[in-house]
Amino acid sequence: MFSIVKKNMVYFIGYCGVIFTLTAILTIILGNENAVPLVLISGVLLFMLVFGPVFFNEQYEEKHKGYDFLDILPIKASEIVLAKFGLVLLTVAATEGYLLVLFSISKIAPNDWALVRSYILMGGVVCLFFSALSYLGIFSLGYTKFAVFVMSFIVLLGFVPILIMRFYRDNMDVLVENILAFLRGVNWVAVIPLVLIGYFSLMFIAIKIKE
Amino acid sequence: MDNTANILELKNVQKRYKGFALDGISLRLPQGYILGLIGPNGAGKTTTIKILMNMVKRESGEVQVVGLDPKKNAKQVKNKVGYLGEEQYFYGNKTVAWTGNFVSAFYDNWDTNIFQSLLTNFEISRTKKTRELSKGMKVRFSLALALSHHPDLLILDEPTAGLDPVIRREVLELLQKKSKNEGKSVIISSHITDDIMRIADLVAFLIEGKIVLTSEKDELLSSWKRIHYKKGALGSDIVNTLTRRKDHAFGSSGVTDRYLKIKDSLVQGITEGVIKVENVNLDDILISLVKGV
Repeated sequence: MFSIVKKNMVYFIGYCGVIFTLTAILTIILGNENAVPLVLISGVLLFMLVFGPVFFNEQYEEKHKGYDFLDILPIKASEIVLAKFGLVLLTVAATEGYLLVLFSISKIAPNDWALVRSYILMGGVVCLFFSALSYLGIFSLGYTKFAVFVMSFIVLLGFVPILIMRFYRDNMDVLVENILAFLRGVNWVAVIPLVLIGYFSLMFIAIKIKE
Repeated sequence: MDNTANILELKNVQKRYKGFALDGISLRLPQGYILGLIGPNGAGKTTTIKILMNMVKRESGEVQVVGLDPKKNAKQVKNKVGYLGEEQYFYGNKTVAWTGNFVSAFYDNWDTNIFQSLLTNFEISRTKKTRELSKGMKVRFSLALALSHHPDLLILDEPTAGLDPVIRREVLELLQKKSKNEGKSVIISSHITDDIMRIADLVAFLIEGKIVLTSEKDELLSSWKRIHYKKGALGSDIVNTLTRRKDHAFGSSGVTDRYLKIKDSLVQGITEGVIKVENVNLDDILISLVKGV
């Protein structure tokens, strides 16, 4: 299984290198005065894990018919899936850890640290679930078909802000306040184990599909 | 051969696809023998081979490969089997050396010395990217990978398809050497019957998802003959059993699968010059089985 991890980790290491460097530069440039855009951008960069290493690796597997090659080797489907899910989990954990340490020592929004921490952790949760769902989709449909599906989904997502504007036009401030209050109030000690249970459940479904 | 332990056994194996079904395949391969699986395109050879490797899941029946059920023990089976498919897939941007190193990590008995010597014998450059290898080189490289972990059984699916005659001969001779000198068992599927004719000890004909004939190759070639005869030289009981009957300048001809049984009754006609017996090859047998009369 370590060989699979080793083969796949190139893109993940590249991702971490880019994200770590970029967020460090942004932190220096934007600093505490621009904490909101800095944290928002970091969350978006964190989410790029899905469309970066996860998609690049699967595109690579499809281009070279990698799963056909692996199919003749003595390795279980569960080991392949575990390697892929494990790498995503490790990368998310490392990136979140790095961002939290970076923002903490850079004293980014010290007065609202609970919100910053929550936003970064929530970014990780979204990232984990989208990665897991992407693997489920890719293992079921193949990379190319799934990529088309995702592109269509992204186009549809463009309508979400329009719908939000339409329904909350007069109450936008209230909506934002509610979201921020929700984020500040998340009990991560309870949520993280639940997130991990959900993630590993999706992993087991992925194993069943791959088998 | 009957007392030799089977390294591979299929009993009543079934697999259905839309428009095609493997219909109760039964086969066995004793240790140390080469079995040729012959059949026209679309007969189910690849499906059968993939079931042995658990790359396709059977619906019913029993399969034992190196003493294990591949459905339950795919990893252990693949550890003891060398597989070569019709298409060779590698990570094209990786070198031969990288690929060998990557593959080696999965096998318990990987032998780097064997791998290196096979690369040298096959004249495969270690620094070449796998996408730069020709079709022949890819087959040689796959064979090097398949042989470097001391497999007990080699499973080969149309390994020589698309190869030039020189490389084809080289691959077949290597397989024969592995079987005769090292006691390796081999199952090789092909629609190129010349390949099977050259190396197989046993043959099985797979037609439209059914095994229609299995036999030792030499026994088969002794039983199947083409008979040329002048009108009235053969009794109607024999004529009616001939397949691929044709009329031509000499008289008529047809193929029999029971030459050993009717041999004595042909002696007089052969002496008088009204009957001639000719050897057939596996191609003729395949066509007879496919097309019948």
